[in-house]
Amino acid sequence: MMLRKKQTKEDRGREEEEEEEEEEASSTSSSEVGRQESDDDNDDNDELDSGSEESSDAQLDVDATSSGEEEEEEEEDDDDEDDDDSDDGLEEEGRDNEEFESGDDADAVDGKNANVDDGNVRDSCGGEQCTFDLTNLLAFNTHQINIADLYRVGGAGSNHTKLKRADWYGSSPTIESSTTAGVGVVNESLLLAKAVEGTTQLLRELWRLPTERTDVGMLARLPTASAVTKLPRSLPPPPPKQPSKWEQFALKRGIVPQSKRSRKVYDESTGEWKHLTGSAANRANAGPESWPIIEVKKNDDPNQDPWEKLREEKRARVGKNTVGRMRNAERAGVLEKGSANRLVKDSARLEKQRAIMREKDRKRGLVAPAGVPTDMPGRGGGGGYGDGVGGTAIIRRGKPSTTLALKATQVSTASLGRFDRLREGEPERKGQLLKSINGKKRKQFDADIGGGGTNKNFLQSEARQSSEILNRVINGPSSKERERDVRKGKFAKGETAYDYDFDDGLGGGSFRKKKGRAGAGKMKKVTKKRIK
Amino acid sequence: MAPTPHQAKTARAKLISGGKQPKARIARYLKTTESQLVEGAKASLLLRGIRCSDAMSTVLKDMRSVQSPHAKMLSKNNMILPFDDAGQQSLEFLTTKNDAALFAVASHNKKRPNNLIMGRTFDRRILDMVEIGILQYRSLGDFGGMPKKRLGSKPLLQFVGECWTSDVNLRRLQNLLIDFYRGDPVDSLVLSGLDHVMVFTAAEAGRLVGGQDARGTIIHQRTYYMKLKKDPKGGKAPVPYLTPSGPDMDFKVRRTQFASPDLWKLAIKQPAGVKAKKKKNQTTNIFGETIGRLHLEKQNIDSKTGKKSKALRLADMLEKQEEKAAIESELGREGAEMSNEFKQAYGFAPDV
Repeated sequence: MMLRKKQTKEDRGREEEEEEEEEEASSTSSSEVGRQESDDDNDDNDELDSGSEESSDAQLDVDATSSGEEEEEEEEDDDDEDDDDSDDGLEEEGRDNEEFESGDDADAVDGKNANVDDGNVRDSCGGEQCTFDLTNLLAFNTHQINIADLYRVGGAGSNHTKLKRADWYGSSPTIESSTTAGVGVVNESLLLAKAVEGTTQLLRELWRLPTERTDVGMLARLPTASAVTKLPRSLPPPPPKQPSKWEQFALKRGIVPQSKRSRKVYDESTGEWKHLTGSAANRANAGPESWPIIEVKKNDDPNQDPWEKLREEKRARVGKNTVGRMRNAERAGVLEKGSANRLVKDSARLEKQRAIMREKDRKRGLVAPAGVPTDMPGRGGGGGYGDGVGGTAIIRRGKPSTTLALKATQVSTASLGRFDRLREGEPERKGQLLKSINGKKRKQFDADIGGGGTNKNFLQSEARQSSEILNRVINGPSSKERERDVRKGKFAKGETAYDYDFDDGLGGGSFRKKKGRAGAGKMKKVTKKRIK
Repeated sequence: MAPTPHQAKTARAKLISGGKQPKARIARYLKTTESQLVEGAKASLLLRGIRCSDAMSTVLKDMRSVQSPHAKMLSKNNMILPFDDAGQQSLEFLTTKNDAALFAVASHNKKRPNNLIMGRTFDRRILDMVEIGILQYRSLGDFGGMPKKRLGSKPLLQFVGECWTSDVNLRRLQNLLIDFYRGDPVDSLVLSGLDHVMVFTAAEAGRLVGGQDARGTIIHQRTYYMKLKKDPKGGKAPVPYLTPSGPDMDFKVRRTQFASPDLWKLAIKQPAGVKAKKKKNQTTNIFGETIGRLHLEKQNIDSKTGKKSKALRLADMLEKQEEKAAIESELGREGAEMSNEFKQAYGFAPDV
């Protein structure tokens, strides 16, 4: 304790000297007398304070509202100074110098119980008053800076007051050194002093704000009403939403959605609570599209697929909805004008094409899909005598669709029609599925060319075929055919992804370091070897 | 990657004309890239310009540390001249794609050594740009063992010197610096969490240089780590104890390109009424605790079976066995009775 007091006294003495000299040198000045008096006062205070400070424990407590005062000796001195003197920043600077140089017990705090002051705690701090913007935690100190003090250029007290870089910068060099001549060394302590001052004032203001208690701590409500500093946005504010056609109408008519729609609805058929949206299976009150059987009503066309009809209707509704949405978007400016009409035109064109295809099919005789019985009375054209229930024409299937149906049934067995006995009058079994099983193309015995070695046509056709084969062997097949064959995979050599080359024994011996797959080294994945 | 305005437009058009909706997570992200009523923190994009030296890279890295998580630093060198039209287009594109409203480009050449161009965008176009030349810099690494600020904490900013208000350029620069270092704009703050101060001191050193530099305003940026200590005089507010910590920079302003007054007016304009969305199912009681409310469906207790304890299961098993044995014995007895009757009636035993 004693030691400490001595130190401070010594430092104070040294510092007083410095201060005096600085005072003489600099342009701004405050009365020396006043200062000395204040120094004396501070000395007294200091002694008292240092004594009491060291008594209490060191504690670094940030919470402002708890009792028991702990304070750094140096800090407290600073504040004392603030209160006692209406000085410029110089005094503080001197103090700061001392604070940081004498003992870096920055973290070892000496506590202090009651404030032993002159007794008058002034509201205005000494030093420069700042203006604040609390929304952004800003403090503006618009007082003039003493350039000379900041830079310490030239003769002013340069012999003995060698302004040294504060200890905390140490010996580590900066990244860039100043190239501007004559700026000199910056007085860091002055900057620090200004910072401390401004921060103290700002904190004082901040702690005056209304607070509320939350589970994370004391939350202060920053003032948002008045914007002192106006900062630009990064994006313009969003434009107000344009009401859609329906919204306009509802607004005009005063239509308001009555009640909240509940999320799940009771489905009568299954007895469960289901959502209103979803697939036909999971939806509540799903309509006929989910029924396995649909009755044919009086005015319905029995040859039309009712599910297809429902799907078409839904597509039409969805299209209408989409077009309406696009029109609303166009009105709002989100979408460019004319896109809704374009969509309408496109879909109309597609519909027309589909109708044409349907007509073509009907002309060919494909009135109904293969599986639908067509002997029922129904509307629509088609060849048939008009003798049905209700006076409507009976639709016959017609030859094309019958042959199609026959073809489909021919390969509708488990063996895809290979081993079934051909009935009398049944046409030859030809089908995509049949072909794929067979693979080989049998040489057909052409009846009109006929057999026999001397039939000219036969000979010619044979010759033609042989020459074609020869050409193919020599030249390679034509590009189109070749491409097709390559695509089909006829030229693929390997069978698996890890392809292997045919070893004809003529190449070098195969040496593998390890057995199995590992010895083969890096294998490239090959699915089809393409011939270049 | 945020979509450019053109991409956003086509995507929106596709969506309206019956396209498939994007995934919910992506839709949420896209919503953040659109304009909002109340804006959050501005993200910054830190770029290396033409021939960016190691020192300038360190400057950028420190800026990223200070501004994180709202800072993004790109690693490749970009041949961008920000004061050029093409360069500005590149900057606009990069900032749009990276969701950043602020940017900083660092470069180094003989004519402009240690150059840093800081700027910001509005509506995906450049609003302001300031080119500063760094005279002296101390990076975070130079302050080796000193305590530094926590990630994401808000700074206390301070502007010292009367040049900040007198000079037009410096006024705009002040605005830019505030934008850069402010962090999240909040309306309430836990005051004990404040842990650092940034001080910008503007001094006109021109006079000292002997008239060489006409406008030789040098700006000193200092960052201090702040520890709040109790006020000995017993005020509520604490007293700060500052230690130098973060990056310290001395710089001067080289070139500027500030926004035209019209554009500035547009950018400043805030929406009329900002209504906060009501948060449902959350209440705060008098103790300050937040209580949430969960709505559950009615659970069918009768049909659901829980897990039985081992003892009960064993007991059940034994019971069943006993029952079985009893039934078997019953049946056996009955069988025996019936066969006896049969014997009596017919004289011979039945085939069992």
